Amino acid sequence: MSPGKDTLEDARLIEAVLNGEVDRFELLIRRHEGTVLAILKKHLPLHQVEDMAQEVFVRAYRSLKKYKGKGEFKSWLAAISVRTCYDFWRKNYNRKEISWEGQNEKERLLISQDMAQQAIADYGEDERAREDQELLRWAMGHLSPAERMVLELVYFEELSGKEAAHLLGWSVTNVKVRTHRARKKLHRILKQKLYESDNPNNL
Amino acid sequence: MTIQNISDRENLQTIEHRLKAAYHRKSSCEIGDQWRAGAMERIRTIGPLAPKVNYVEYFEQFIWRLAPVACILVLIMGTVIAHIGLLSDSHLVQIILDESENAFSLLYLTGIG
Repeated sequence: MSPGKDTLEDARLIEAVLNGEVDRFELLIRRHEGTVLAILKKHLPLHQVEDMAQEVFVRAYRSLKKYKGKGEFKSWLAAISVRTCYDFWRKNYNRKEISWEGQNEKERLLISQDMAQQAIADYGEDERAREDQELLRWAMGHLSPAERMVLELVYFEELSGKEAAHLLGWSVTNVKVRTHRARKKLHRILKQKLYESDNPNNL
Repeated sequence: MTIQNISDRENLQTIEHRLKAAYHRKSSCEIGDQWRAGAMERIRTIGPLAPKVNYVEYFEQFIWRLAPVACILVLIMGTVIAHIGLLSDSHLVQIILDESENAFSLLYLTGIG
């Protein structure tokens, strides 16, 4: 389906929902759940993705009248998804990051299933992937919610400052300043961890 | 917490590369479908969104209901004016002051009473 037809179909469904046909919103969910889930999976612990996916679409429904057709509906939903992730981290800030062993059972199962599906035969590769996830979780746990979000959007996903600012609803300057500070902080954290690993007796 | 494999002196760029890879790896995990039903249940509880107000239609509904009332008022006023005539304010005040006991009698003013 061409982008133009997608936009028209979205507009038709949105109008139907605004006119009271609530059940039509499920069609909008099915059309755009891929985009939303991809964003949530990147920014949130996997065992939280389902709950937050519900939250994203409920927020989208509540504020549907504010979507005035400027830009694609998908982009509007993406912004809601990113801001929902940010709100999640603001609510859960200062929770201790957990190691792999203490991880939520559901999340471990999801990651394990994924690894099995990708047929990782090399046990060393498997262990390395787990460690990388743990390293990521540990490093991100030392950042504030704002630092986490800008680092993930700008640094990991390589979005421009303008794109990240649009998704977060911040100014471009704010995004650039926070990104710079977040990256410096991440380097400091990693260097400290490197030092501790090399000099265990100095802890 | 110790992190294995960092002690082999990986530089920051290598670690950052690992972090990026781990970050992108998460998006390949499959998520179930149950959340969709939960979302629609919450949305149905919210109910239909308030429809956009069509002010023209809204106005028309009320204006036509008031039309009979407006007609009756016009008839009454017309009757009053026909009996009183078009008096100036000062003349009307003079009448009221001269006939103070009947000052507020509409019937007297219209000449009917």
